[in-house]
Amino acid sequence: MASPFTISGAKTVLHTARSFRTVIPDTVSKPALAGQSAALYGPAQETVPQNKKQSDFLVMDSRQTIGVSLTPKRFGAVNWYGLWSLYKKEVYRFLKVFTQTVAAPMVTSLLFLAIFTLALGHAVETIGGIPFSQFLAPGLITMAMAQNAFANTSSSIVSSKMQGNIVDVIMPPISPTEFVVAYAMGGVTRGLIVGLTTWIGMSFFVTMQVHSLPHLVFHAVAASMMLAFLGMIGGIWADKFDHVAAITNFVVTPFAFLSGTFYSISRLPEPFYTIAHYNPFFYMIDGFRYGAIGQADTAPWIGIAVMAGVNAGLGLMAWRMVSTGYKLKA
Amino acid sequence: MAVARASRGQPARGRAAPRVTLAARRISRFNTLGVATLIWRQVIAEFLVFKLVLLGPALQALLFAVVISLAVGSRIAEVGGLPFLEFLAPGLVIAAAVQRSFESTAFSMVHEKLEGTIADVFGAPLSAIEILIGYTVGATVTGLCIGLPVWLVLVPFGAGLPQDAGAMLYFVLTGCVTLALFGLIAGMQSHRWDSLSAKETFILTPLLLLSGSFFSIAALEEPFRTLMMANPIFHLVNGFRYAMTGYADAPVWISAAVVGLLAAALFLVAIRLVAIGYKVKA
Repeated sequence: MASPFTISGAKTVLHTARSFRTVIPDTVSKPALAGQSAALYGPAQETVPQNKKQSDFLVMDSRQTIGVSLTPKRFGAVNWYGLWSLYKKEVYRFLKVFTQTVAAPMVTSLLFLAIFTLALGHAVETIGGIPFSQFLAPGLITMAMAQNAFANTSSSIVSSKMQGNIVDVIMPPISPTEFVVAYAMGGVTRGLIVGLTTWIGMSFFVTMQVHSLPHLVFHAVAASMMLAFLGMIGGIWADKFDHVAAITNFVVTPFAFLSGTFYSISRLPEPFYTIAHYNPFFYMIDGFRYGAIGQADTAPWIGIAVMAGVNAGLGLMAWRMVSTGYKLKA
Repeated sequence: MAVARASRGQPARGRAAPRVTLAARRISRFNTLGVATLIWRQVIAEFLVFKLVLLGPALQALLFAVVISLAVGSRIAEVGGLPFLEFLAPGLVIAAAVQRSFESTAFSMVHEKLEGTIADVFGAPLSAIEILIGYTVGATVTGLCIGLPVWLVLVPFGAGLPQDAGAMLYFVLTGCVTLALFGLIAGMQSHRWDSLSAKETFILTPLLLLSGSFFSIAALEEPFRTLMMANPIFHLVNGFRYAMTGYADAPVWISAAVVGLLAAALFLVAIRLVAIGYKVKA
């Protein structure tokens, strides 16, 4: 454990203060003061051994004794280092419990495939000339990706809020855009990993095909991103875990189930057929299915346009919430 | 616990005295108040913490019913002489009820262990059997409170009143108790949330989904049809479906025996674990 007086501790203090050079609060710790003098004199050339004691820092106002850079960290328009760190944290967070976050969705999707094929296989043999299981597989994969992208961002933000460590993300010099991008990319990464493992798992039981790779990849990323944004918005809005569970139960699951995962919407009677076209989840499943088996209920370019538009809208909304600090900052 | 029990023999100080007595409370052979409190806490905690989320299973069942009517549409198939949704409804009801029973005991066990509040239960003057009854009855009540709304939303899709009320009660109660005991064992065995969720995902969910609640075993080919008989949840669903609709995939008395024996076996395991305080007492 690094004590606040080691070199690495001092570095952390400095890197989190953006305009450190101008104001030094009275409460600032000793290593930070030592760093301030380093900032005035510029970084020295020699390196200091790692296990320095507190007393060593008290004489560190000469440039010879300061080695590792204790200057405020500088960055350009984008804080790439912060962005990358936040993204890595998001990815490690779910990989650490991958049985829960990657293996479990795969098993559940395979079970769904099994029960729907067993239950409906005799009644619905083909949809548009394609065996029911092959029609079902891309829909189930999209659903798994979407649900996990949503779960990743929403649970991450809510648990950070509840444990109070959300300040570790809000305090550092990470702009709202960087915040939104890092979290969304974390969700997209989980969505894609889940999608890929589910795809591989299903390929043992069902003939999986790729009709158009660009469509497949676009819709996989766009679907995960849409739900990652939605998860962020939900996570920022929610005060407790059961609020997130309520959004999952009453918003995400109904939209996902009624989006044509299990049936072709051309089967729907009239008012519902039109209503289904207002469900963005329909375009994500339809587009992904077009990429996989080449069968779609609407023209592929409409799906791409809708997904891009919805993503832009949700991304903007998430960005707005983060930048105003809605339910994040006091 | 031994210390707390020892104080039972002491006489309570004068009841007539208007001031609050500080004497040890006397407990008869069975700590009725303690068990009732534990049951109450289990049920109330569930409803206070989860609130609306408790309607989740009902909504999910409704979605399943809608999706399946849409997917099957006019080609609605008959399974064993029943319309498909009528065949499906009992399975959805019992699956939702027993899953919640499992989660009730398992979640509270892991949660209390992580929070350290488990000492409030194991340190109270409750014997192993009393603790077990408290958790199991609490979970069963919760399971029933989940199963009932699921049944209600499925009524428009063809779920009806039970044909055999006695069998219905037997299967639903034994089912909830069995899964509550299993949840208690799984919860005591797990140190962390992810080890519990691994048990739920890799043991319970496959057993539940592949239990024949969604399809008749007539749809299966031979090796799997026999394997299905080894799934205790299949017997639960089979018995409950018989009680609700009169249709059964396998002889009901076998199902009743399997479920009953399993409940008894899990009870023996659970009471042993609670009595020795497995992974709970230092």
